[in-house]
Amino acid sequence: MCYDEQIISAYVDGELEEPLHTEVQEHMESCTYCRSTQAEYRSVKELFLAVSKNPIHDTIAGPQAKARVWQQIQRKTRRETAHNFWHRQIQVPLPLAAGVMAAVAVLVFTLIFNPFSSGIFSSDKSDAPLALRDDNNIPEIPTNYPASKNSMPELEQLLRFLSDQGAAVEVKIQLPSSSKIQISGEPQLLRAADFRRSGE
Amino acid sequence: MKLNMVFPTLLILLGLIQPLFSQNPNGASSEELEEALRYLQDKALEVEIHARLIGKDRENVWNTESRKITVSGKSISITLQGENLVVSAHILPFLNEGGSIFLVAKGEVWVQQSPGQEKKYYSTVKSLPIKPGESVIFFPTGVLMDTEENDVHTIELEIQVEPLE
Repeated sequence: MCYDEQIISAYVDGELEEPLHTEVQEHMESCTYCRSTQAEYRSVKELFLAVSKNPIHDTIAGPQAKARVWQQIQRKTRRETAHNFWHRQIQVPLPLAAGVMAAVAVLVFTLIFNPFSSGIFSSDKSDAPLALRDDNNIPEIPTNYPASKNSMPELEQLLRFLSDQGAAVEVKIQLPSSSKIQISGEPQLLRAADFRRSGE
Repeated sequence: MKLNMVFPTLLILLGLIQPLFSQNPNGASSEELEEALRYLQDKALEVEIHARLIGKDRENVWNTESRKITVSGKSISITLQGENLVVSAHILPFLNEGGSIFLVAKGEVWVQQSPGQEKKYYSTVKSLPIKPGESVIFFPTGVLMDTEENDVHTIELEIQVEPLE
């Protein structure tokens, strides 16, 4: 029975203890295959011993060769790292992966194309859709008006919507405190031209 | 699943859900919204209001003005707060097909002639067909042509309504 390579390697290195060392030695004398394996290990060992006695970094070409080898190792490692990242296998249950992807897609789309917010990024927000703006008193345009699907909304529908918003256009005027107003009869609505003509 | 498959899959999903976002929650597309806004703009009216206090010999003792935008059929409320009364005038303009304007004015007055007296309430509705830009005067407390007293005043609201340019 032949010994395995680890035992032969240990035998070559002189690391086997008795009685195994003697048994292997006796086997070597009769086994050609094990003898050749032993010869291979021995030659490798001698090569290592020769290199250690005359190390490569002591020669003139040593530093250059070392740098070249180091560059190649770095280049290969970098390429493999990038390659491995994109081809990395990730284990995610399919329903979870689909859910996460859908959520991400919805989020991205909402952030980019949100038509309902006068923007997520807009600072001019108001709870009342038709609240008056301070700058020029132009009512803000409602974004959720009650449009029918197939036809333009009717005026009544729009007015009802505007009324429902409770956003009446109001002007408040404080009269001078010293003024005393007299009720002089029924309220009147007259054309200015007619009134001025009658006063002349 | 490999990471290099994640982004193409996301793009495909985005394409699939995009139609869901092309309409607003009430089912109105952006075209319908634009059409409705154009419709609103066509019906928009600009109302200019000059409020005046008129005293003895029709002297203008105080005035203020305001400019508001509304749509046909939507009222503008003007509240005047005085020492002995509160006047609330509601100006309701309707834009007719031919471009003329039908103006409805509702006046509400809460008045206390002197301290300790009970408060009185008056309410009236008046209407007048007018041309765009024509001036009308609303007298919520009645017309006072002249008075002998120096500290007695009447209120005039001069109103001009024009389609919004």
